[in-house]
Amino acid sequence: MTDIIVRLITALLGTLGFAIMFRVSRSRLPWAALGGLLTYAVYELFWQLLGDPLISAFASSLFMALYSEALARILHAPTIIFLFPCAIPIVPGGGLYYTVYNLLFWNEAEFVRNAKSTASIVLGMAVGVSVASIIIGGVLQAAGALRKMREK
Amino acid sequence: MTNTTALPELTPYTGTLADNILRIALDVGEGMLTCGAEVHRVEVAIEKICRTYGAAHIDVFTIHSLILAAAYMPDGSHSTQSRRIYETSNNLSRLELYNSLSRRICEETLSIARVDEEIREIKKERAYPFYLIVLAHALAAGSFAVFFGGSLRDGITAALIGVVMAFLDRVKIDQINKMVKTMLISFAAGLLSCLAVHIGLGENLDMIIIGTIMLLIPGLSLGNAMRDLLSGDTLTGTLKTVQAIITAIMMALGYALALLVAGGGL
Repeated sequence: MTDIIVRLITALLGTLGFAIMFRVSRSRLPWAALGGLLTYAVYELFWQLLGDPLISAFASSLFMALYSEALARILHAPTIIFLFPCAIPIVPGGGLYYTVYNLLFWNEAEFVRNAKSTASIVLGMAVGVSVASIIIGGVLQAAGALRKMREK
Repeated sequence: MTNTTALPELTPYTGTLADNILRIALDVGEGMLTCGAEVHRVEVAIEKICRTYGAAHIDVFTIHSLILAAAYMPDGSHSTQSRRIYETSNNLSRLELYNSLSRRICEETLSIARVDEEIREIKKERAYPFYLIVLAHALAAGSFAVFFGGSLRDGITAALIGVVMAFLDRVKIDQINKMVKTMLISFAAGLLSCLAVHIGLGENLDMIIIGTIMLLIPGLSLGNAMRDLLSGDTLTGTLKTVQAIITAIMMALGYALALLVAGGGL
């Protein structure tokens, strides 16, 4: 349990660091950092429940995209201001590194293992964000149709 | 490799109307792309700006390193221009300014001179002083060293190396391209990590190294590349994926060389 709490806190701080490196403006920083913490919390939850990188990455990215899109609309900012920092704790940085490292020095077993998990996470994230954009598009269209009906 | 950022300073907007419209639209598009915007967004923004200023038909083709665009006016005059983008880095506060500028162009039809002036202002904008950027590198490297299972001392060591990496990243050498620079910074970070463990500052070499790797590894751009692929920007997605993998290979080479030099073994 302690190590989960440590990971959550460091995910928050690490996201904050990256958000500043990405030059997220000061007024948006707390939201970006909070997003990193929550996104990682969703990842950790699914990881503890199911232990599958693809599903954990999918669920956390779905959350991350919905969170970013909602904040973007509330605060009138582009979505990626929140999306990029939020993605940092789940982005497979270590996995990508170990994949190419083991490719270079041909440790076949380690290469295959890391390549698999890196590909699952990247794919899960991409599908999660895409599904979120479909959901948001649908909701917006429904809201637009509703408004038109009321006007009539 | 030449830098094109000084382009708008060259001449005032003296071309035909089609030329001027397309040029100002490309200035905004180029700004967005260099700050980390998705290619799809850049294409939409360029098209909208041209239409606002009266273009009848616009063709835009954008990949992460190039914008090609043609604008046709209702009277038949037209203009074709291109922009080569050499370097992109995530600068999200500037991107926000470009986005709001492009929105205001479409809503209020700002004059071209005014837009030009605002772009110059955006290019001067600095969201954070350098020391805060250095501290952010330290915070990120330190946090991720602990995140991946390092001790507090490993975190502090990674943070200190992160500071060095922030300074190294700032050094600009014309003869060295980005890939070689990534390898050199990785080599330096790897060497410093070995040294820190050797003198007893850090405890777990692996954890310190993974913390510092997070600063350089193009994990986010790999994720974005996959998103480009899924949203139909096949070319950009493919190019970015290859770029991310090659960057990762250069990093692995840099770190491996450092481990070899320090005698830690592979």
